[in-house]
Amino acid sequence: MPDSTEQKFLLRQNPWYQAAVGSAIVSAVFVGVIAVLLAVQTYHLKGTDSRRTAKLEMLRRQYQSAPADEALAGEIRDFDARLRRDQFARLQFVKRGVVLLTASLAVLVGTLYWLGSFARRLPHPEPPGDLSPQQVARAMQTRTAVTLTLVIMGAAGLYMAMRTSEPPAAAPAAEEAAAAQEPAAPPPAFASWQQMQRNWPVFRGPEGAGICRFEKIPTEWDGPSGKNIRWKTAIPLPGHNSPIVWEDRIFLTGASEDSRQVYCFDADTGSLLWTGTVPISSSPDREDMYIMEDTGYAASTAAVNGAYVAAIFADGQVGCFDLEGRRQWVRSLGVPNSAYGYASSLAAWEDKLIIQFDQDYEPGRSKLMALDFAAGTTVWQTDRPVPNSWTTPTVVRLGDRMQILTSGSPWVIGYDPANGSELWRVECLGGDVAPTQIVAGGRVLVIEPYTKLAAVDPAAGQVLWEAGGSLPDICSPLSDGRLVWTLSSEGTLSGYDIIDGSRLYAEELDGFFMASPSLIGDMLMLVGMKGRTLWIRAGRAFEMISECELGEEIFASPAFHPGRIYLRGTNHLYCIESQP
Amino acid sequence: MRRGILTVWILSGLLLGTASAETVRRFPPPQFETDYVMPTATEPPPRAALWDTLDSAVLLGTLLLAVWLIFFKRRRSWIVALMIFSVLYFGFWRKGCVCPIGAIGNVTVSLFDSGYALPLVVLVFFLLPLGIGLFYGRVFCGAVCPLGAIQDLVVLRPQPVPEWLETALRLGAWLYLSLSVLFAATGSGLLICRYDPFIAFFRLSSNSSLLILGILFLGVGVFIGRPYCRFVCPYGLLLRQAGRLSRRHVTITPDECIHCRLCEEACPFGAIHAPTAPWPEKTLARDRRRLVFLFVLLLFLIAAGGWIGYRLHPLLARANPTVALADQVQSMEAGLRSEPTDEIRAFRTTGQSDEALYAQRDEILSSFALGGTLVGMFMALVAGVKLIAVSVRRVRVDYEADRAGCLACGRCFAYCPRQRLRDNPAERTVSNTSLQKEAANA
Repeated sequence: MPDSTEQKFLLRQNPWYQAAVGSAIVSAVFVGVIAVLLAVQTYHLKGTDSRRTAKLEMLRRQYQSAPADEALAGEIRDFDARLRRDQFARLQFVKRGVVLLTASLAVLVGTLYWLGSFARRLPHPEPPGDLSPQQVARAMQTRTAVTLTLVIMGAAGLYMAMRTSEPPAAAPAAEEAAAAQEPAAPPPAFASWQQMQRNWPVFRGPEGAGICRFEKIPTEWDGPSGKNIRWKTAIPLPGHNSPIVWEDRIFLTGASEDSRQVYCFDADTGSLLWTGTVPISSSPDREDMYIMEDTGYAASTAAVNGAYVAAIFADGQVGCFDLEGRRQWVRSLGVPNSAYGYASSLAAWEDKLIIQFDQDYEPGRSKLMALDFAAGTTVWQTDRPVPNSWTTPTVVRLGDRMQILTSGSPWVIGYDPANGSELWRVECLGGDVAPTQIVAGGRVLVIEPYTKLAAVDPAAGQVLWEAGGSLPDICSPLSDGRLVWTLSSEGTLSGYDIIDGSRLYAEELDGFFMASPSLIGDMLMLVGMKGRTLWIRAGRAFEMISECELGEEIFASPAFHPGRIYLRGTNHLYCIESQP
Repeated sequence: MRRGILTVWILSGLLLGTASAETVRRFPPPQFETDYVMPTATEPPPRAALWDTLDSAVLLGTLLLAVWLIFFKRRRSWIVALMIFSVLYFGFWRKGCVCPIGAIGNVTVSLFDSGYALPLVVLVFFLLPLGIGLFYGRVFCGAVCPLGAIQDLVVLRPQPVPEWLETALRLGAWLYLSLSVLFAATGSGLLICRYDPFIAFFRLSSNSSLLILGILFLGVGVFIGRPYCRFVCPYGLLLRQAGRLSRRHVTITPDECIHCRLCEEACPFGAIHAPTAPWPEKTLARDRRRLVFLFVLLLFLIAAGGWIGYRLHPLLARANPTVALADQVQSMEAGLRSEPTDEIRAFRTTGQSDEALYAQRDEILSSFALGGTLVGMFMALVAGVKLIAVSVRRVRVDYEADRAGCLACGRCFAYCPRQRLRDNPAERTVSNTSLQKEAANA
């Protein structure tokens, strides 16, 4: 009787066996090719279809506003016919593919059976041994498995039951609608400039300078041990926007691909007082909207004017609520075409909500607008000669008047907040501008990412000086009126003299930084991405004072109120306060 | 050389198939030019009663033939031939519809919707396999079901699934059955038909998701015998219960088991049970206490399941198109949605008031509240009973096909020496002669 090796050798010499192997390989490759082609083609065409449908929808909208445009009607017909032809071709392709796939699968199975017939194995039962322990063990395993499955199903059901504890989705909408229809309370007057200064109403506080003038700000804490952490509250949806504070309330926003929310937290307890919902954009352009993961859908910080709080999201949806959470209005500005995703924060000035809506790779569609905070109507709107930018408009006092300052490549522009008219402009920027301008010592300080820090004299309309170095691409500058500091994402802290722009030092710090620096008294507060905060002396030379650990990643800039720091981690909002 | 010629020959066959499929274009793309005239809408003719009768007759015929092949002829090769016929007729020719599995949904709708007339052929397809099952077990699964047959044909390298995993996974099929009945009863859709994984093959056209699902099931089925039948099929669960009650059931041996153990690994579906060993006496009291505890626990499980099912009903109800529409309309009215969806636009053209729509939704929600509670209780009951069932000490003296789990595929027949002797009397003569010679020598 031939041994196993000899059997294999004989088998390999058998031409029918060789043919079966070859046929099986050919069939398998054929099945694989057909399956991959089907998958790739279906995926590709699916994407193409959705974009084209969005285009068709856009053309139809244009036609609705110009029904007499025969050329447009013809274009719609042609495009529609092309879409249909593509659709039929796709169906035909899939049908042919499935026929081939089924046929080739049948051939493959047949050849595999054929192949299997050359190596049939006879049953070879092992000696039985003592079956009793195996039997008991098997019974126990099965009981355990059923119990575990029951527990998993029960836990999953319980989890979903708790998540759907509210009535169906429309019910809250009904409540909100009812709340919206309630006779509105007498509109409160907007806060005064002094009241704004006593709060943290916009990104980086009053005038967007990142300067905290409150007292008793804690400088020591430890997140893991809870030292000086007054409270910590989970944030339902993610977002890189910073908290803002009005009296005893903290506001921030969160969003996912299919949800936009505004949150109000109690400043003393951290409890979530209300959640406001802003509907997602229904614009067909949303299909093409590109949002970088690092930017997210809620990068823009909200703004509050003492009576209302407003928020804007990456799809151009703006929502406004009163401080009790009653939604006042929603505006759809259209999906902005922004290379990294829209990220400019809002600004508030008296009864106006200021929105810098910069978009596109070339100037033409960018604008600055003021909406009525209470009604959402457009008060004024001004075209801006810049492409997409990621800076925030700031309302500042310059000389004897209030101005809205903006920056975007290549212009730094000052506007009149009353009517949006341009007051001055200076050309000094380039690239994808994200750091927000600040005002210090009567100068406007702006950053061209990686390249230069510039001081602009708004009165003369000219650049006073420009300085180089390891400059930031995201973090905004900071100044105490005598010195200017910049902090790059990679961790280089640079100090400059505000008079002539001479660089005083450049210190490489450990870590990455997304939050803009803040000034508290004579100290710089630098919040690192990994959750480590560095305290640096605000002097002409670098001097590290201390550092604190939060234990959670941080992208947002801090907010301040007397005696407290509010830090937004990736998942939680923290209130830091020195414990007595 | 010969290998190369054969391989090229097969490859040529495949390419020829590709080319001929390419030339078939039965529906040229329509010309959407400006002078295009929209054709008058036509309605497809009602399905001829003849086809219904023929389908029912073929089903009855194949079922009876399957009974004969499985119980009397006991030949796997003939059963495979019947499987191929079923795949071709019920699958490719009748395009997988009507089938007893999907008929669960239709029958449920007819029970809860007085305006729905259940076609007779659907009722026949639903009842006939169950009726035969009460007498002969799962012969429908064995040779007639096209879904089962197409999976059976690709079982090439079957691997055993541990008993604990098989038992646990089957709970998923019970959940699928419960939800399918709930959705059909509330008019929310026919889940089983919508997610038939093999329909893409039978109709040679479908959406890519179902095609991928079908390929996955077949791919897994090469190694895990009939995954859809064992872990998903809701009709299989009904036939399992019929199999338990059946008057006759498939036996591995045609007459008596000689405990040769040759059939131990014959079943790719884990449906052959070995004789049991004696259970340890010392744990008898503990096992009894466990059973009592499980019976008491069952009541709590049912209550908890009912509560969870009730709490989940708003979530489940979102699958209902009327509830979904009402939610959309309400969110539109509340200003949460700035643009109407196609469904809202269509609803507006009906002239129906929002309040009437909301009232419909509330009615459906109350149905889901009751249905969700019942589904939760039922699932808890199933799991609890399963827990009790696996805690009972069972005693078997022979190698047996599991009454509920045996798919009547006939693979094990050929493994039994008693069957071989019956099929080849010559082997018996040879065997007897050898024995006589051995006795003489001794």
